[in-house]
Amino acid sequence: MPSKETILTKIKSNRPNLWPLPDVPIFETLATDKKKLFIQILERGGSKVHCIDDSTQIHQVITTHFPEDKRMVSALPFLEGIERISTLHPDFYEGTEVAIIEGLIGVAENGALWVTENELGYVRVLPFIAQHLVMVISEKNIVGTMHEAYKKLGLPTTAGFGVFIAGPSKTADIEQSLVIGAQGARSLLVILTP
Amino acid sequence: MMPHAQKAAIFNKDEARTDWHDASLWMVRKKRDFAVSEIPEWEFIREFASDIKMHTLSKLDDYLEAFEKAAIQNGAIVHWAADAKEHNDIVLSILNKHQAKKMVKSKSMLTEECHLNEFLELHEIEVIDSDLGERIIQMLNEPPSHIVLPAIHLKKEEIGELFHRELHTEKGATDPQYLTEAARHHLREKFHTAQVALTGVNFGIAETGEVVVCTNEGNADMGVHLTPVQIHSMGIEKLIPRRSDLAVFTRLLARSATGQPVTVFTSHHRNPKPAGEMHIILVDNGRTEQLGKPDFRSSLKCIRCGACMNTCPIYRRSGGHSYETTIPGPIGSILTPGIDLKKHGQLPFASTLCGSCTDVCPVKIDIHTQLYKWRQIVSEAGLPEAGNKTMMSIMGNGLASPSFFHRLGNIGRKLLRLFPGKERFLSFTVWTKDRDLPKAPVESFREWYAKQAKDAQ
Amino acid sequence: MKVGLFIPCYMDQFYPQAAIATYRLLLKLGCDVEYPEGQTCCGQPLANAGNEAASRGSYLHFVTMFEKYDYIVAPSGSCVYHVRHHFDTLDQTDAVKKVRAKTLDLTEFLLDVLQISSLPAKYPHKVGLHQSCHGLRGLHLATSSELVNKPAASKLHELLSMVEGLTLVELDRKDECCGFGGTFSVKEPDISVKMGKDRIRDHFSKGAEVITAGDMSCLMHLEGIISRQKIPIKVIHIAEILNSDEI
Repeated sequence: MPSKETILTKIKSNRPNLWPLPDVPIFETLATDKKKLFIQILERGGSKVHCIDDSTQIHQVITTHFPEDKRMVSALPFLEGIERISTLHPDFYEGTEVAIIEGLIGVAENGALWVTENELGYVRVLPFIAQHLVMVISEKNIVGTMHEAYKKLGLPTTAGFGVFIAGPSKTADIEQSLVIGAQGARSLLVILTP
Repeated sequence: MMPHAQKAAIFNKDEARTDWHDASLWMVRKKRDFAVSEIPEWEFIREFASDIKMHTLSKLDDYLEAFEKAAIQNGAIVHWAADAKEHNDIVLSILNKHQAKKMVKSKSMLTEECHLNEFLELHEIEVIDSDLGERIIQMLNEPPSHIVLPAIHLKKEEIGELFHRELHTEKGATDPQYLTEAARHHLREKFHTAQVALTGVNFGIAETGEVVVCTNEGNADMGVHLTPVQIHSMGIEKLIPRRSDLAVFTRLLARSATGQPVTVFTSHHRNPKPAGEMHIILVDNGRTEQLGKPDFRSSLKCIRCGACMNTCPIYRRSGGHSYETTIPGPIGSILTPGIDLKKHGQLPFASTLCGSCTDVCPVKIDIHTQLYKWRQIVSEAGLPEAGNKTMMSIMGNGLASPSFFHRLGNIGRKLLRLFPGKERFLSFTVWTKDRDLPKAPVESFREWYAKQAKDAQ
Repeated sequence: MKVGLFIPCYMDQFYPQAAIATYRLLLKLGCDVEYPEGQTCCGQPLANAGNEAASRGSYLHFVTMFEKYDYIVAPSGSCVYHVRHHFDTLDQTDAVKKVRAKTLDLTEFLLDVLQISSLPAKYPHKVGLHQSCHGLRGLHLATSSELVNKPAASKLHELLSMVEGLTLVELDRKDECCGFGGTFSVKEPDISVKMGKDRIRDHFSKGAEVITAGDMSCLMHLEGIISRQKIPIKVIHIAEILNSDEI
């Protein structure tokens, strides 16, 4: 018997009686100011947050934070003078100093930002391979909790990959000492637009 | 196999190091306490998580079929493995199909359980564990001592020395930042040259066919997105029914594991990258067996957060290697006796049944009750851990008989009175190695009470 | 209301003063209390060692001994937990059900049944409270540090707050296990002792003169280490503090 059948047969004879599936309520955050909480949690996790009044300021914020002339790659269509994502070949993006992408949802309770391959132009590796990551998100898209986030996300329709990113890559594998910049981005700058 | 008690005794010989190990993990437990205190509905969330997992287990066959169907529709290739061997063979066949000789792997306790690395190395495949802690212990040729913090038993000086040898870092360098940077460069090269990436799976979603992988380093994503072929090895108990259930589990997992509000990366993989290939291997390896044990099936709710290890006063003072199992600590001690009772039957006794593991568990597994129940099974099987059965039965009868009981107690107390401080000559050697026996009083409570009653008359 | 007093075996032989304090305290509070002399053991030592089957006889004997009482009170959360939780393996006759429901730890009995709000006790010392695990996580005599947002009431704290002159010290780890664990103490002596040492150090470094607990077994283990290492700290069962009228 192929293993699939063996496994399913064993489950059928060994599984417990039907246990009801609970309806989980959408727990909301108690915080009155979601934006404030979002910023606070991001900063606690080692990210930087920069609030702007107008999305035309994005370019300037980026060049202020990264003044050196190094390779930047943007998945945002409107940043003039910055290399746009092009090929889907992932190795091409090695050597990217700064990647600039858009976050779709921000979660206040844990500082996580949701992004899918659609916003990455299908270059899934981009947020991970860059030395530094910039995520642009509108404060309108900040929700309180993961429950609210998944409610807003619904089921995936087109994207084959989506990720919550909650800060720079980090590890504490050596004596529990926190080191920012493990395998992925060494820093995360979140630009909050109105 | 050396008994846990003996391994623990060896671990405790270096008391300063034991204190250091204990303090490192206690710090993680304290971070966890702070993180969970930020969620007022924490106890409800635990209850929901437990119910969702129990529900899934009660319909696991249906959900697995739904998951497979959705995953195939997404374009993934789904494999079923009844045991470790079949799992390893499947991985090898995928590697062979692509003539791959190099594979990067992110953290996966399942592949540890299957001893995948050893198997692939026999077939001349280079496997690179890409999580920093995993890479460290892989270089040392050691198993992980903790499921979330695999190298928690090592000091930075030891890692510095290892990296000097393996990665040519400066001699004597111990700064974690510096050492991590060296590993980063070393691993970057591996990510770019490997042909296949394998990850573990934190959650599989039945309704969408997605697999969700949680990491802090970003190593799983580096591997998956840089190599053409991705493999996700998943224990069949990792399923959850709905995508929205992830809200419950992502809130619980990192807070319980490390005290972070969420892991840095929570990646949802639904289909292969353009021109890529995505494999999902569904692995049983004893899980359906455990499902058939009513007292122990709820251990399959485990989401591998490691909180029971961090809180366990015995784990903290004996180290993960003392358990000699892939999954150490309290959860390992209820999972492994079901796999090999003779080998792991001693582990349910490596506990005071203090219950901290049960209270800390984000999915409410009654770990200490299961430890107690495993002890009964070990005893019924006649294994020596539970003592001599005939003796126990005589003792049992004695405890049910007032006259025997009182005589025995009195003899014990009077012996202690006759030989105060000489207990070592009595057969209390284990207790008295580092502890004194209580000072025996002139009379027992029973004797005192009898006199009282007599005086009252 | 007739109260049957259950005294754990090792307390009977080695710590009669704690048992006497329990008895006298109950008398002082007006209880009609009786110590059935035919009592033996709740069966926990054998059962925790994996020999539940062998301890059935002592379970049944316990039920026979105590079924006639309105309440069964024991100065031991551990034995009480065993009766309440693990007597589920017996046939659930009316007697078994009654005994399981009516067996209470001393602290529960004082607060939940007698509902006392004050005590004529005086104990002018700095005290460290050890929360014994079975009482804490088994009987929920307090909220364990792992749980969130349950009322943080602790029965032992509440009772100790009624004692004049007593100061409680604040511990680093307020409810870590002492390492006794019955059979564990002799199966894994090294860790058992290490856990005990760590607990004692926590209490001692905070200036406690005395460690108290609701379970004498934890204290017996700690006392054994204290005595061997000659640490200037004492152990005392909570019943002795609650019954004390030290001037």
